[in-house]
Amino acid sequence: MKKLGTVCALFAFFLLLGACKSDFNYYYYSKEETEVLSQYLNLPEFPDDYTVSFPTHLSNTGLFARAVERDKAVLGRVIFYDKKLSSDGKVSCASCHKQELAFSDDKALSEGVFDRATDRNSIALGSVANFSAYYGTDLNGSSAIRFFWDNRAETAPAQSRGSMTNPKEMDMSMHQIASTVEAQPYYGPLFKKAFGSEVVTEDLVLEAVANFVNAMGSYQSKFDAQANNSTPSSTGFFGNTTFTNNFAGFTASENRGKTLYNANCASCHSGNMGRPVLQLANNGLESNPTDLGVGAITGNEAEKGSFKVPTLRNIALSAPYMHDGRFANLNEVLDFYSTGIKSHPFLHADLTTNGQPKRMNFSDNDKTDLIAFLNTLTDGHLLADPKFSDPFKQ
Amino acid sequence: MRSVTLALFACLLLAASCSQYHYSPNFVQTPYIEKKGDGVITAAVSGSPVSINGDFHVSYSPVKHGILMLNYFRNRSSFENQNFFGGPTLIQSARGQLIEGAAGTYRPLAFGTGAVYVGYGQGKMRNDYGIQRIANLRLQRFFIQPTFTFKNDWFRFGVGVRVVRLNYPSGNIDYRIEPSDIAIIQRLESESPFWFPEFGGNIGVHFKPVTFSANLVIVASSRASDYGFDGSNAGVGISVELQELFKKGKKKTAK
Repeated sequence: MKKLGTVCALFAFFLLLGACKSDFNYYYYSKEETEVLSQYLNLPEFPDDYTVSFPTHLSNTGLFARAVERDKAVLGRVIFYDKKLSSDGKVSCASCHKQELAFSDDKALSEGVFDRATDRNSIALGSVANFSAYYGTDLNGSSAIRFFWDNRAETAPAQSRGSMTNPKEMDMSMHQIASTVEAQPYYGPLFKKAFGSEVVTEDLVLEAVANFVNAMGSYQSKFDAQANNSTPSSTGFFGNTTFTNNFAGFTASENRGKTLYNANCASCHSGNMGRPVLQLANNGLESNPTDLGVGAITGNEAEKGSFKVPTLRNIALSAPYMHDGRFANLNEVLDFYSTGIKSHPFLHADLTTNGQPKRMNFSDNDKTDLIAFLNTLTDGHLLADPKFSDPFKQ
Repeated sequence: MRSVTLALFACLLLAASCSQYHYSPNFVQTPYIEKKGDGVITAAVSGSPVSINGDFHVSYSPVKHGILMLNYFRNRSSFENQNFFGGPTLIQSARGQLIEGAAGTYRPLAFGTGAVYVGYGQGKMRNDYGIQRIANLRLQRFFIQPTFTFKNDWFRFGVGVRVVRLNYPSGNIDYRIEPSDIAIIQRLESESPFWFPEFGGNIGVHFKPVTFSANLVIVASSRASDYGFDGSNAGVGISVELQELFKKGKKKTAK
């Protein structure tokens, strides 16, 4: 008994001995690296977390966000905002993809180097996480969403390469981009963190930008909050669920707009805003289009005049609309779908009635309700999130 | 018996598919000591789904009903992480060690022997997440361990429960480690120390003075995976009972 007492006393002594709290030291940038970086950039002491987590109403359908590598995203953010990577030193990716506009531009045709007009309207990148999301394990297979209005880029790196080397956009060769990056002192530490070495290659530049862009997600909208608390009434291809029941947190107008949206728009743009149901469609903008869109890339007759079907997340912020920015606001878009769809041999079937262009004939009240609903797709978090902002000291 | 042992060892090596971890349990030692002057030396190898380990153990009874124990444990894991998203393949590894001492008391029971030990040890775990992203953690372990052992001329059987208080007093962590892994480390930092039991046992055949044994230890914590703990180890060991070894030596000398 005495021995047992001694054993217990010993144990209590050891417990007291080790009662101190943990003292962990985390390190990221060295002192030397901080000195260099702080001359040019406003970066936090520890890197931001770029993990993309979809809302439960999307993840429940099997939709996964592509994994983002944080250190590469940190580097990608700097590249994204770096105007030195254009031939006139005045244009960066962010020039046409502004955070406050959900990474879109408010011009019909965005302006590239030397004020050159680009060919098309800048697509909002604020929902790229949804573009590049995938179902199951299909990363780049049949369900991958392509980039650009004409779907010519299969991946985010291919999209970045296209914009950086386009003479009307950033007008650089990839070799020039890599050399310019290599020449800036602030990239050394960032490359070392992202890739373990300061060696700059074209592919690594693109990989970094792709990680940053793939982290841009809008999944904290009013619509998402309501959908998370609701049960979808139907599930379609690729987890395209539809919510036909009214959302408790929506106004009557928003709910009426949702009903109209489900009836007229969801079959292409998706009912749960996960990913567009269609990769491309001819929506009857022109009977004889001069911009052939996807068809100009593929040469496929049936795709001439077809364009990418975008997600509608943050749609209220990304005016003007369509590939050429022809519609200044959502009212004009709804007017077009109401009475303006033009005949075309390959007009998408959902936009036809008895072989003729469909007339959705929205009333003024319908349009008000639809716009009220579309406003619920705005994600204010993304627009103000510092980890997506310009890191350069002005 | 030999083929069974070899098959078990092969299974353990195959099972060591490896990942990062922050704690791996050594075997719950149950020295077969019944009187003053008895002593045991044990060496063992083990494996788990994440690591390959080596155990070294010495125990000795300097006084009647009193026992001292010294354990040294090493564990390691090394593997290539294929980047699913097309990036470079990462060479990752984990390795750790623990040295601990314990004092205890034993009593003969109607059937077998009962013992209780109290011990303290220190160690470290070093996880390399690839491209020189390293987390070094120091760990301290206190334990109280009741055991039951039974032995006869040919057979050894021992079981024990090690009630562990595991503490991580300090660490040095490269924040480039992936956020999901950093989250585990931060959990260790904020929630340490941890209390949990470990169940262990061994069964062996004895050929004086040597015992060949099969060993198993299981961490009984439902949150082991949340903290990056290796949940179990199984392996084989060889022990020498010092009183028998020296008795043999004396016999030979007498002849």
